[in-house]
Amino acid sequence: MNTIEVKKLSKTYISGHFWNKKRTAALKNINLKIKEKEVFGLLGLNGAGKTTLIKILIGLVYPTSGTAAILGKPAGDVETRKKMAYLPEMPYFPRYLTPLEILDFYAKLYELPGKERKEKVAGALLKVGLYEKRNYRLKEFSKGMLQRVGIAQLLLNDAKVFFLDEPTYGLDPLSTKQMRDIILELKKAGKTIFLNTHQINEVKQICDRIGILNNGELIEETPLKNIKGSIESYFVKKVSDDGKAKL
Amino acid sequence: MTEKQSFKKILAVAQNTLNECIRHKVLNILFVFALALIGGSLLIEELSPGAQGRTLINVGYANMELFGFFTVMLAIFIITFEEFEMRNLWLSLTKPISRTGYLLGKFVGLTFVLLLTLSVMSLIIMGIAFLGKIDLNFNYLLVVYAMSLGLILTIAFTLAFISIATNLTTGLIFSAFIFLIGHLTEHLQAIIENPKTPVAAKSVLALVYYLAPNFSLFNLKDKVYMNEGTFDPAYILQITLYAALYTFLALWLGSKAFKKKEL
Amino acid sequence: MTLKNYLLPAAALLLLLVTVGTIENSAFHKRNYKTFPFKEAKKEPFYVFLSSISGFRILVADFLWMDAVQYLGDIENQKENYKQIYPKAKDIITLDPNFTYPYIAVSGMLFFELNQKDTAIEFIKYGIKNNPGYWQLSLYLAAYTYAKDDNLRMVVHNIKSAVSLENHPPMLERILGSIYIKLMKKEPQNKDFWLKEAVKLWVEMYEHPSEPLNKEYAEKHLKELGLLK
Repeated sequence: MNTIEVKKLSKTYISGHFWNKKRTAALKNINLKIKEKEVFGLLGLNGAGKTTLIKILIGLVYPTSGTAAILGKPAGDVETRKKMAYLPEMPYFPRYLTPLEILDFYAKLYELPGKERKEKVAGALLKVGLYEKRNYRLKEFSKGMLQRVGIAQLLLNDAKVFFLDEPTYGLDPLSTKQMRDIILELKKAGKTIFLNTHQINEVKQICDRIGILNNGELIEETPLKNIKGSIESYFVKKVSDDGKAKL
Repeated sequence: MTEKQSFKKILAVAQNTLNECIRHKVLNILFVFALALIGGSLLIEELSPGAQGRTLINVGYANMELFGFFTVMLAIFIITFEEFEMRNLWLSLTKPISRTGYLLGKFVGLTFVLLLTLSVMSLIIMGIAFLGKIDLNFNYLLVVYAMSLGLILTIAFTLAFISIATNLTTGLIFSAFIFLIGHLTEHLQAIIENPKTPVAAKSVLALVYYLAPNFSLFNLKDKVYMNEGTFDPAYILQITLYAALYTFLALWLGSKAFKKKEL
Repeated sequence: MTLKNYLLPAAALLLLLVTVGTIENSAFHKRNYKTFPFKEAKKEPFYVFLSSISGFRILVADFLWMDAVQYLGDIENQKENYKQIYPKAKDIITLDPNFTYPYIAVSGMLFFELNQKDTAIEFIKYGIKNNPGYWQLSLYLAAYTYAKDDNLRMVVHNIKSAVSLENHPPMLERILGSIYIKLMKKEPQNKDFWLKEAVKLWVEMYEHPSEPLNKEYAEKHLKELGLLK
């Protein structure tokens, strides 16, 4: 069974007033299969549709047509979310709560019993180096610290599938390395990871396979080992060729 | 997911909501209420001879409803602004909780905030009444109870409108509008019954009258002076049922809209 | 979405309609919820709007009473014989027919100070009709009726009973004093008795005044009798 399976997925956004509606095709006929324990990196220009695809997979947005399934269940299934974890680009948290409170809240939603919940929350905060600041209000946290809280909430439920949207966005070099180490640990633990990123270095170090999304279409999908030369050149060439083909 | 687990998650969301409201100092509105009432009581002493007690109590309970409404709107605005505009909601909804469960949790949490606010306000009024040697009978407790039913219903349809509307401000404005219309039912009724009102206007107003929740049913503070003895318990049960059913329908609609909402 | 999913909300809606019908037909609702009499209410749009919002009608009545008190306290208005007091009072009791204090205070003023006896009696009768359980109003009606018939003894009896009640209008004590003076002239054979009663009243008014004006009034009369220096 494929962990993530997308079939003929399309998403069209409708905007404007009823007398002047505008349709924007964010995703066009995407077909994608990601196997268990695979780390898949999705590359694309800004506005290509990467975040839209992830949001459909985690159930925040609904497809216009086609299907998406996670662990054999339709995307957005509530029970499946017990085995999923998601990190958005620039995570936001309730400003007046503390990391301890927000992680405890998420842990309750994961149905973790009392003692286990306390241990998991403490463990996650220790892992990301925020245990000492566990009782500080989140409004006092920097962008990088908030990202680390976001990473901490990934580690609560021992998920099987991870959706990471620009996980190293806004992080300093040290935190970036720490983040990558965590992802590599997850990979080593046999987790399936779907990664949206602009960072080619990340792709090189972490991914097994990459896909390139351009103007809502999945124009390329290949194992990393098949790419000869630099991934940057490969990416640029594919996107340019796609642009020329469309002209 | 068992029902017990769903219920625990709803309570977790409720507790989180309560924490957020307390941290955002929504309850500071209570200080404004207390100051307004204490200041008002000193003024009323001078300005309303022969009716000081009555005026003080009327001001107290009218303020309670107003401040209760503002507390609800403020709490909902603060929480939903952060969730929708600042995208706090994304991480919560990717956890194993249904959107209906999440909405219910918010509703329960906001209800806790409201009941806490009204309880403190009631205690303040009782304190002022005690110091002013004003008698408060059991009917006043029923006045607060009926008021809280109306405000709980307000929470429900505000959450419903926010789920339906494309932006937060529209939802809140519409909710405030419905709250106002619901309080104008006596006026609406008079216009509908007036033979001079055009038929078209009558039809539109009648539609509004029957669709909007009738908040005058919960207004027992105007009836305190009309009744000798305790309010009719059957009436209290009827308005409780009315509030419960309307709240259920509002939340049902809200949950349908919220399930379809794209974030 | 199957029909089953709509069953519960449909049942709730039906039950809601039944509940609305039950509430509107209940004795409590019929007794307490009446269409607001906008035609009789104060004409200014702001007041009509504010008072039509349920829950604030009573409060607006309270504020109008405060306004009426300010009106009475303004000496300038004495020149026009406080001609606005009755329309103001009518506005108040239109908004809240159960606000009993204006009936007492204003009817007393109309009867004893402005000599609008019939208006005063009509006003207090309206108060009794809307507040049948508030027996104190009947006391005032009795006082006015006897006064109209020049049965001052019965007027004294009723006003004394009213004055013994807490929260009676302070002006009633001054009215009682004036009636004692009238009785001294009307019944010279009982002058000493009425004088004794009057002095008792004025001493009480002087030592425990319900308002400063009462103390001034009592002081003036006691000085005239040489009982106060």
